[in-house]
Amino acid sequence: MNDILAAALWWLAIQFLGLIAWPLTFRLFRRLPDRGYALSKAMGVLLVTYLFWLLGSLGLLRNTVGGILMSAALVALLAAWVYRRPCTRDPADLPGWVAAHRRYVLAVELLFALSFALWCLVRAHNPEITGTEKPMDLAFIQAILRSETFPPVDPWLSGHAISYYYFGYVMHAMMAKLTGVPGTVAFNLGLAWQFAGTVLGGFGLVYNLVSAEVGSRGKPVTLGRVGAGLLGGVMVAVMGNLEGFLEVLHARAWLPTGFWRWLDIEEINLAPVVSSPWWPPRGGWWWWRASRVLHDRGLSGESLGLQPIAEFPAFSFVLGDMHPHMMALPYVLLGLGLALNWWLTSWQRESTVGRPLWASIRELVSVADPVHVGLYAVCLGALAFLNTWDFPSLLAIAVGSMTLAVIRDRPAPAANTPASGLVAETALLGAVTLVSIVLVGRRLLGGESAWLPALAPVTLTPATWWLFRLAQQQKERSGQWQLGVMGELLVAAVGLGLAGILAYVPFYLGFRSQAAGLLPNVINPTRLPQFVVMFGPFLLVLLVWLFGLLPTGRANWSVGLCITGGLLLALVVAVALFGALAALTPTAQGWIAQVTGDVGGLDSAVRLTLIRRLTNPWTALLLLAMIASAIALSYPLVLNRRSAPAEAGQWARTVGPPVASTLEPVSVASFVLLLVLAASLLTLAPEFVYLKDVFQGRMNTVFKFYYLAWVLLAVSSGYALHGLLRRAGWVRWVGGLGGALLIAAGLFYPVLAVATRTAGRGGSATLDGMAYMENSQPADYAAIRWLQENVEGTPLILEAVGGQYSWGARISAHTGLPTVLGWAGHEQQWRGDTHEPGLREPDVRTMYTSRVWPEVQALLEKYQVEYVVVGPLEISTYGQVAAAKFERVLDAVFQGDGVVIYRWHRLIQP
Amino acid sequence: MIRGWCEPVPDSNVDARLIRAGWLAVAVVSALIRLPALGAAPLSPGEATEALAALDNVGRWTAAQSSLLLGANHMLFWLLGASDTVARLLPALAGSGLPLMAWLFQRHLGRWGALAAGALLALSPSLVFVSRSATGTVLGIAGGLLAVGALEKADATGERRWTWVAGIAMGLGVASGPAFWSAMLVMALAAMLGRPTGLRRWLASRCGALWRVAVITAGLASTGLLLVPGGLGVAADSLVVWINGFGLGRQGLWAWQVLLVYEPVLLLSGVAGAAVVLLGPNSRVRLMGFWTLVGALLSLVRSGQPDAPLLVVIPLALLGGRLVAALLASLLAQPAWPGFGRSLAAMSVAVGVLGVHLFVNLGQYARHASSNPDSASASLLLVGISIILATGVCALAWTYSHRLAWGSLLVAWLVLLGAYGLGKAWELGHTHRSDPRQLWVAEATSPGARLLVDALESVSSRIQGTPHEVQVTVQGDSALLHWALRDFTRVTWVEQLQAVVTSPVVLTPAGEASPTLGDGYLGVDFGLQLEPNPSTDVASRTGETLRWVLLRDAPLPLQRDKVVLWVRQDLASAGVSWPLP
Repeated sequence: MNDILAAALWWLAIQFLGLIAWPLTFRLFRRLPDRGYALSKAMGVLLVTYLFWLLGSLGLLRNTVGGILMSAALVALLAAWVYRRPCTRDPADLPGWVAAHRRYVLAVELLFALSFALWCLVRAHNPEITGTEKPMDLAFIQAILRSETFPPVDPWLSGHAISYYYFGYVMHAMMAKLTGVPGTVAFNLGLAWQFAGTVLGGFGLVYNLVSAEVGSRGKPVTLGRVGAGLLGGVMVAVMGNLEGFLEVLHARAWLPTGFWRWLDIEEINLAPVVSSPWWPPRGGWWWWRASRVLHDRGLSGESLGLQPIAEFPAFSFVLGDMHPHMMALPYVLLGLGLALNWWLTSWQRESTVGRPLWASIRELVSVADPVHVGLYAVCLGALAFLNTWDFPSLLAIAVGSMTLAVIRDRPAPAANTPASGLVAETALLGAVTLVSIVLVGRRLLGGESAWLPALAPVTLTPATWWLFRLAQQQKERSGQWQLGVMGELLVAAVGLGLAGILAYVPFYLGFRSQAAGLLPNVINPTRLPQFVVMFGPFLLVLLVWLFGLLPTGRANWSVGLCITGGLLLALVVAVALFGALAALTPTAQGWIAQVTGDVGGLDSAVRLTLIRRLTNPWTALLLLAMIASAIALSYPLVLNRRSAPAEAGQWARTVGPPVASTLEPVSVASFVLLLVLAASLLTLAPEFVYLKDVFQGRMNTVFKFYYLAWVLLAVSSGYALHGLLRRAGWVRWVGGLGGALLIAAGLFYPVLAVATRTAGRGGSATLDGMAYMENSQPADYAAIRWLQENVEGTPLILEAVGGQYSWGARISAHTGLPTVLGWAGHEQQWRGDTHEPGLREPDVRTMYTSRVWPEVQALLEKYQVEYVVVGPLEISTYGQVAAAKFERVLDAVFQGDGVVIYRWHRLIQP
Repeated sequence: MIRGWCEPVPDSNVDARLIRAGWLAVAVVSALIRLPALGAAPLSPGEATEALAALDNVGRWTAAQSSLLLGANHMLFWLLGASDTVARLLPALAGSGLPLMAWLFQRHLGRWGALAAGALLALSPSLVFVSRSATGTVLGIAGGLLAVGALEKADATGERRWTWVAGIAMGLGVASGPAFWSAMLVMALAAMLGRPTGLRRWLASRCGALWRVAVITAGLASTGLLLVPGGLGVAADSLVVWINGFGLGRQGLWAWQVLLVYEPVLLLSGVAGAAVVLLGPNSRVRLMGFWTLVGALLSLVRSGQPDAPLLVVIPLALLGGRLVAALLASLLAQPAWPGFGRSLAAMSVAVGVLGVHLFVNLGQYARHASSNPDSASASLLLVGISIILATGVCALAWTYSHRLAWGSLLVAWLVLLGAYGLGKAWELGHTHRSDPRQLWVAEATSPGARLLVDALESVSSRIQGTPHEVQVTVQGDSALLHWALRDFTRVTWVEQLQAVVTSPVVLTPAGEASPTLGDGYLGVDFGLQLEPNPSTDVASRTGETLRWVLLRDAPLPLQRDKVVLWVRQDLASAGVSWPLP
């Protein structure tokens, strides 16, 4: 298929999916100024994929074009029903809205088309699906394309289903099947969609924030707001961190060696050496360093083997690995849009005093609209299936947004504010909870059973007690047993979270996580210079913006500092307790012994740790300051309610809150402060704790948390920068100009990195990710093509097992046919154990090297192998391959230049 | 003048008792032609796939296209046992009821016209064939017809229950397979062209109820009342199968072939009837003319698909019935009927005799075309003479009365072609149901498949003492074999035989070398499928076609896809009679 046709079909498919969901999006996002139009494509892809996956998992649909069309038809029916439901709260008409906002619609479509085309062009000049973990991503997509039902087969561990968050791969495989595009082309088109979807999501969010702030003044669409939106899209998806700019400075030696040593970013912490030509510096993979700006060292000063990953979206797009964290980006932005929609919703209700809990909850759901709540659960729950780490964070942001909005719109002032005594009880219960977690964690540190079931009762018990105390306080005030607003919100939040999990039960049933508890980060605080390199442009803009909010004079610093102080205390206590308990486990004792041995004993180790912590507190302090500011500044904004509530006895629903076309001026600053708070918490957490996994360090925790924090900070900065540029005085110059300069510095990275990645490409551009193999690996290429064209279904193949990031399992990766064992290390990561891969690797070796046919036959039957591949990799991996036995017994169905594929005839399963 | 003759009889002149008796007769005839001996011919490969999907709850038989049939047969197999008869039962019942749906179009056709249309549908060889096939084709066509008819009734009477019926029909149709989508597309396009006043407004006002009922029915029907969840996937895939069925110049059945060979009554009466309504002033009836036109066009772009000819057959039958009824009523309304009637009878007999003469000589020509050109030429001459004489008779009658002339021609040809059509219906439905020489039969299963099963049962009885418990190793994987061996409990399916085979009974494809069996087995072959045996000469093919159509005389079909039944020699020697019965 011609590449341009393939790209056009892909674009059409996304437009089709977005359009069928648009009526539903129009109603769901009725509070957003743009009615969710910028997010409708992501919504359409998500909903159709969800139904397709769910009905396939339940055995109702097959993984065919018919199944996809049926899912699309069901989404269309749902969208039509949601749109046509009688709703006095939203009398807006879709055609009328489009006519009134056609400039905006045009801008969105133009932006999407241009960004999609741009990244297709980039990928066409760098299409190779090789290196890092691209083969793994391709293997998943190809396997899903071949699977008849869900869950899809694991291509690298035959007989098992994929144990990974594979929803993103299902999305791309579904679009590949719908458009008829081969998997190796779909890989690159999927990357282009990811890029365009992220740009569009960032654009839409910032545009909505800015437009909601301005309200209905002026024209519906202004260049300023569109410009702010564009800035948001650029900051989320295009801009990089400052490492790219620093690479230029280092290559030109424009700063002294002392600076580079002080900055201590690996590879550029050496004295600069100017060479000619000076670009690209240090070889072709200089751009990789941008994701490793944090540099952790041991107590004796040596660099740790595994450094924290500080990745950001632009790096992901340049690298081109289709990983879950990148695939989740458009849907993270969709989740933020949902949260903003709730913030802009009017939650005015009658007073809840004297009303039973179930009635209050029902009213809460009714204000939100039960159907919409269900859709929220599906959209937010999808994040767990896309990139599990994002789900709790986005759920907290959405619930937090709703909480702030409900408090803002509460019927009586201070009627439901928790009493100070309750806050103290909460702090105490929080400490009890932490200790409980630690006690459970002690089991986890020993590598014992799954922690989530153990944590559930531990955390629910204090929460239940807190709810009881809330109800008790209400009883004292009003004479009625009831929870009050805070309790209702907690119950609603738990309900939403559970609904999001229940919507994806088939995934959870088959998912096994490598996560095994929490561990303390004792000796590696992040150095502030490195933190600034990572988030510099955002920090300047946001700090100036926060500072600019101070003159309002209504910040409640006592609440802000109190909560922040409590948080710091809790974190320190957690680190101390975790550390103390960890010292009791054999694994940790071994690590402690190694560390203390390197520095001459335990006393020395403790001293060095304290010194390191006390001399590097700046990142944590900065983040704590941002947290305190966000809480303090949002306090009065939340208390500053909308227009006065309706008369007692009148139900707010019948009054009709404002519709999108006649927005009252609403301050979205509190929502942005919530995003800043969330980002600060996400980046603060790895300073003290990290999730235990196979990597035995904070690498992965920093990776996932910083990635999401980037998105939150980028959106917040886009809004803040627009606000700063509209203000007068030094705030405008410092924040605006400074921010613009730093953003420009951040743009060095994507421009230079893309130039590096696409440079020196001989031959014509192509979107086919395996076209390069025709010249570099012609034997394997021919064999793979033969299998792709002649073998249907999912028969098993036998090929050489590979180490991580190797050429092993290349046939399986490019065809989707399951193999006995692919990358053993990755299987261990996904499943959390080495038992099964450990059994299979020797068996594969035996099948290739043994000369005893009955032994080989027994193994072929055991694993139900149908095709045996003997090529250069098998020969180099297993030495002298006893190919004679295959030639004697099996049929050679393909013979290429150096590769032979044999077929073993098995019983047909009835 | 012609338009005046072609208008339906006013309903006030219609005897209700006669009409009811007529519908009863249509129902009985329709059932009598379709229901008996459903299992006489073995299932074709396509039918076997549908049946296996029902038996195995879809399983690996994902090529099945009708989830409605799948779900229904799943329940019927459980109740009545899996057999060829039961597999065809639901389509036969639906096909029996299809002619009665002409009653729904009385507002367009008149009561006598609807009855005549029902009769034509009941006797249509094409509909008889698809009614006796274990596929979803007739279910889809019936669903579409019922849906449109119910909507028409709802519009005419304003009764809400007809909206429900339409919704249920649409839901059943969605689950029935690709044919339904063709039917809906034809009717939707016809409605757009015909632009009946108020229909779109009416539809918009009832959309909600219609779609709700349709969606619920489709969900339940697709999943066999939730007993076969995988049926939803089959329904979804049938849409893609339907889309892939569009194309020009494909191999397979063409609608015009079907009309010429099997439906000459519909061809003549229907085309004339369509022309009359298209040119007439009645916009409501003109919609049916557009229906015919669109159906004909769509059948061109869906050539080779089983639903393509039916897209034309149905509307032609409706309009043909309307025209025939109107013409006959016009004849009967002659003032001097008794005398006119006698003249008409005489002329009709004369024309009819000449028509029979024409057919006979045409048959003679077909018989001798390739072997005896002189005799063939003589027969052709006689055919010409028959035509001239018939024309002369008609011309003579014309001089007495125009109505007498065309009336005698009409009656004679209705009788002759009707008899021809009835014969074809019986032939397609019963005597030559599985004959690849029939245009409708795309895949013909040989009686050898049943002989194979009989032989296996005999062997099993002798070896095991029971008819279905012998161990059988089958090299192959066809749907026909899977269906044929469904009752055998110890069947092992392999792609290739192993080095050493010890199974008492082995089935292998014929023509493949079976070195592993060697001399240890005795075998006999059975053909599973039949294929036509065409000559290479075009002229001979034309003669053969005519000979087959008129005389049912053609070279015997060839056996293909043969399998060899091997029995281990020690067992064959130990009492299993050889060769097998």
